[in-house]
Amino acid sequence: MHPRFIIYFLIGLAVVLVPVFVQSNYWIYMFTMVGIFMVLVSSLDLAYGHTGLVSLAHAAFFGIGAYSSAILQLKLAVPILPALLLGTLITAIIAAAIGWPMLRIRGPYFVLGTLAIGIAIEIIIHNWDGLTGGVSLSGIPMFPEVTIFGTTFDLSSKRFFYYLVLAVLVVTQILIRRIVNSRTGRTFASIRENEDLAAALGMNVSGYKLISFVAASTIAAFMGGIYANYMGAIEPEIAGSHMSFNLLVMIVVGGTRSIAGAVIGPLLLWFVPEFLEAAQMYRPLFFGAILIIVIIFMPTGIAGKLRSLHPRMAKWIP
Amino acid sequence: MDSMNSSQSNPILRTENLSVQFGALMAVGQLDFQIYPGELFGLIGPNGAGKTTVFNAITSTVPLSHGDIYFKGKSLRSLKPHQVVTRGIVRMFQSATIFPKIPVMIHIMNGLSCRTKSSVWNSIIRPPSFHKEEQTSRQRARELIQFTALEGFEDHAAESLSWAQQKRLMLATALATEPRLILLDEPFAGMNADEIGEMIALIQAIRQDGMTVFVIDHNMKVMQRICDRILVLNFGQKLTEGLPEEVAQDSRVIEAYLGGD
Amino acid sequence: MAEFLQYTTNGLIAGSSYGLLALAMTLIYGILSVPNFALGGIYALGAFVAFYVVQWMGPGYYLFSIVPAVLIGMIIAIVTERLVFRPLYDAPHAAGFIAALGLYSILEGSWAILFDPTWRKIASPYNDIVLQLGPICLTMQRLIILVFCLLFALATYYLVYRTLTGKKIRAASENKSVAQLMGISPFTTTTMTFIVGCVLVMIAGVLDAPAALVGASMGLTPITKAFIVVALGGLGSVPGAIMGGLILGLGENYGAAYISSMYKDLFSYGLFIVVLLILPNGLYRR
Repeated sequence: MHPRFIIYFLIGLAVVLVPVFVQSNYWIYMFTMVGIFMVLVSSLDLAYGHTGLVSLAHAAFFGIGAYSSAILQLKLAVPILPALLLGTLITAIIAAAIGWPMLRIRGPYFVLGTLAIGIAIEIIIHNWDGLTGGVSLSGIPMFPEVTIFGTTFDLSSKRFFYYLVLAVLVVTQILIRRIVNSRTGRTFASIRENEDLAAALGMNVSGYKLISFVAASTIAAFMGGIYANYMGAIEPEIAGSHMSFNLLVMIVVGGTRSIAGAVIGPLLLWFVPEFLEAAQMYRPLFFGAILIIVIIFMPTGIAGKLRSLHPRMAKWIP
Repeated sequence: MDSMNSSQSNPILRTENLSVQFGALMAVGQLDFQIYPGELFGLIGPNGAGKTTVFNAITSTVPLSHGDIYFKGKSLRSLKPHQVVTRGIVRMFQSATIFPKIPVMIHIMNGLSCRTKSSVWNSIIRPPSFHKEEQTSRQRARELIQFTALEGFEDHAAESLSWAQQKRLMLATALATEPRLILLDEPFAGMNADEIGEMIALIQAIRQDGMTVFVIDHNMKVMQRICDRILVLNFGQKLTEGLPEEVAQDSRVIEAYLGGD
Repeated sequence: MAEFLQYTTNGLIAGSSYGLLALAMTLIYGILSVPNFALGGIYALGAFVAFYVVQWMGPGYYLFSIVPAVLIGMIIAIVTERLVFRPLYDAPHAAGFIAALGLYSILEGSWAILFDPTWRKIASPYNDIVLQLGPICLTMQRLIILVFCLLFALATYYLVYRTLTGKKIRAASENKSVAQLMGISPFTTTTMTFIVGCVLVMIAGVLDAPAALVGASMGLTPITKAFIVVALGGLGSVPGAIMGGLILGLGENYGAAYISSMYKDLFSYGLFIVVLLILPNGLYRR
């Protein structure tokens, strides 16, 4: 076996065994959150890295997914699993309805439009308190206990969610790899590289932008639904432009179109500020500084920089 | 093949009163012409005569102010640019317009996208039909790589190729869309004599398969050599149209070229 | 009718401040094709300058704070342009935009650390003087905002359209490479534009400070709206920015008064999205 795969296997094993060795619930929570960010960053990469759509509304769809699933459970007493799927479907429809007119807009106007939509959705969630609970929606049910073959699993435990998020992350990455390495993915790349040429070669540019946008939003929405049940309470801020900005920073810093990038970005930007003194206060400074340094000195992100160091590195960094 | 009896058959492309106006500027005015199946039709004219605008109008990238364009008897009006390609018209841009970071093999496969069907679901589930389509696409791309003499560059990014190679790559990508009519915008620009010779050979080879070619170029010598008929455009109006030798001797053409530079 | 006049006045005051911010943003956009979000952080700095001048020298010196604000604005313009935007001169525009967001984040974070992340009020002497002009009622401070914003907007208009520097700026924003061929250095023009932009934003910060709460993140909402104004008015258009600012200010206040005050902010974003969909290139075309 190639040494590369042994390393990958060891990393994978370590990730799977984290909850066995880490006893502190706090650290399990931290790793789970980083996993959630990795899923969001991976899905944003489909729109931003692969299709070239700079979206500042990605967190909005995470938020709509979280809220619609939670509201279905709280107000209509829908069981968790159907609520999660229905919430994701609702968000996909909203994403399509927003994306269809928006994606005809090009360049900076598109970015501005997504920014406005992100802010507008946060304001709507905040003010529509009859439905969304205003500043916070709490009391979202936990996952139940399940007994299979006489063994009881507590699905509300922090450890279960760690594995759940890990599974969603792996499935997300597999989905994205499959989409990217196909006719659809090649069309995304064409749109990113030269929109006019793509149209001149018979590609339905707005149609494929919509596919990319909705697919990315749907993954974020599904993750949002799980997040709602994990936290038990959600706030409008999770849908806000600030959150969307953080996701964009993570993808730019980590590196687009790369599994390593989608892992490095969230790891770095989630954990490093934790180790800083007075972390909350220094976080914006740290985010901004690292973003500017990376964008000036490593235009392809950390993963891209590592790849370009040596031809062999390019093979090692997925 | 059938270019000999072309004048008897129906035109493959026909314009009626084709006019494109930008504000007060009439870029192309009341232009009528026909191109017959299998023909190599040339369009010449001094800078700013509206040549590229004619291509833009045919490919629906600029709206027509008046008139209409018919391809195989059907109007192209109100089609989106990508739908024009599906009908069977493809265009090669003036400068080598490419997807810079995309490797040659995939670049050509991009041209095949409008003729293949694999959906997002297919790419996720990957049924046998998905793999079959990928395989035939690769096979076809390989044939086009061979045809345009780009073997050995399959995995090279498009931007790393030489100018002439980039132009050939664009030709291969355009051919992958399976057109009936191909529009070439200055295919010889920036090339040396050898490279021009190679490009001419490629164009002749495409015509062997019954392709209709519509070409714009400045190089009067080359155009005279290769075109069946030539249309001369000046200030957006048709100056004259005819066989290459007739056009070359037309005094108005000579004047437009010498006076308009 | 009296109510309507009052809303119109409020709208014009809010709009003149949006207009000044939008003017700064549109000038920089014209030259770099980058919506410079970092101006939001510079706007907050302007407010902090006013706050400390009033605290150290007394409320009577409130208007004097424009002087240090202008000087600091020049320095920060040169520093940010050299360190952040010049290295990205040839990078794709998205890179400059993301860097601007990063710079905003740095500025906001720095103000929070340097000046305390609390919200505070400025004791401007003009806050307590209430003017009654017919049916309209407004504080002296808000009149100062309106008059000064329009004054500085006019001065900028003059600078851009009537001076040589302005000609160079317009030439470079029209076509960078041609301007360069004419002997206009793209670097000095960019620096000049940055200075004008940052100074305008600092002044806007000083003017708005007493009418708002001063805090590290106070610039985010105004700059986002200025951003919207610039897009509505046509990216890079000077008259579009001023007109767009006034329209947004009026629209917001009418919307809040006659539709719903809770959704006041939503109204401007909604308006923006609708206009964007109808006119994907903004109201004015250059």
